[in-house]
Amino acid sequence: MKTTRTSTVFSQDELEKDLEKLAPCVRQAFAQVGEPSAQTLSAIHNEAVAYSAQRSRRRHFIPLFRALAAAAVLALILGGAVQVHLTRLEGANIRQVGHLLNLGSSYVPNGHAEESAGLASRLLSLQGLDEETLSLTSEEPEVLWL
Amino acid sequence: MSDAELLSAFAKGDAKALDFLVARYRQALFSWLMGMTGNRADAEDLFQDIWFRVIRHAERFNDVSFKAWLWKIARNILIDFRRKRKPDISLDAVADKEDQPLVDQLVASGTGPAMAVENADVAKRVMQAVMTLPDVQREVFLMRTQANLSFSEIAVALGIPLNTALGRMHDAMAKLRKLLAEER
Repeated sequence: MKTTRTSTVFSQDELEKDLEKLAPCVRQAFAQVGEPSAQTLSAIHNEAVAYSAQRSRRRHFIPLFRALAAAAVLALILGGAVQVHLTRLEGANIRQVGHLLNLGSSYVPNGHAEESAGLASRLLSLQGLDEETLSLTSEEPEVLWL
Repeated sequence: MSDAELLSAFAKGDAKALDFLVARYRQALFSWLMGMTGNRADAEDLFQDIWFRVIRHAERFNDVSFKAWLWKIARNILIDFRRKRKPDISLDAVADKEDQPLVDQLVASGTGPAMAVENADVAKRVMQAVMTLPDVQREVFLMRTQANLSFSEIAVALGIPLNTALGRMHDAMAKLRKLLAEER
């Protein structure tokens, strides 16, 4: 079965009018219960002071912490940059030293050393010789007359 | 300074601003707690817990009314307190053996020269009648009469529609009228 709920709308003005008579009496009655003790009020005051001090410390600490964090990040970036630079310099030095020590190889500035076998073959070809025959390629082989 | 300004000053580090707020609401909040718990020791503990929570959450305050926010906190703490204790504490009875019932405390404090015996008797009857109200009606009634919260603020503090708050107040008033008329 379907039921319909009706709600009463209460008049605020009427309630206030009724209260005008009763409220002073109630207030007077409850006024006699007194107030919280000085001990309770003092505990609240102390808590408020402690909490304010704590918040104040936090407020001062946060900007300091942020500044320190920013300085640390900057130091890390600078340190990283210096490290990369040093690594590059070290690599160049190693290549130079390597060239000086390895006399059989030819140093080329781009860092590629030519192997000695290749160098020998180039030298032979400049002289018109090849590795197979070790003879002049542009001339006919001479007849050896004994 | 408004409540919101004081709370904002406290959130910015001015501890004294909170003292002003406590002073502004200590009577209203404490009597509301006395009305809801029925004894001084519990009301003192809850009063302290409420302000500790205000201190910890001051930065998060963004409600329209500080008063509604304060009573919202008060009510949440009261609910937690009741859950931890007993499921249903009779507010007319004495919760702690050492504590006097609220009504007796009232009479005891009212027997001084400042208060006539007749007044003390009327106050006692009113107090007794208020304490017999169901929790949901009593909290609305005391929020309006003791804390001077508007009905809109009560609705916000309790998280209920305005008409529900008005309805609870209406029921509370009807019951009080009946109780007080019976005693005459």
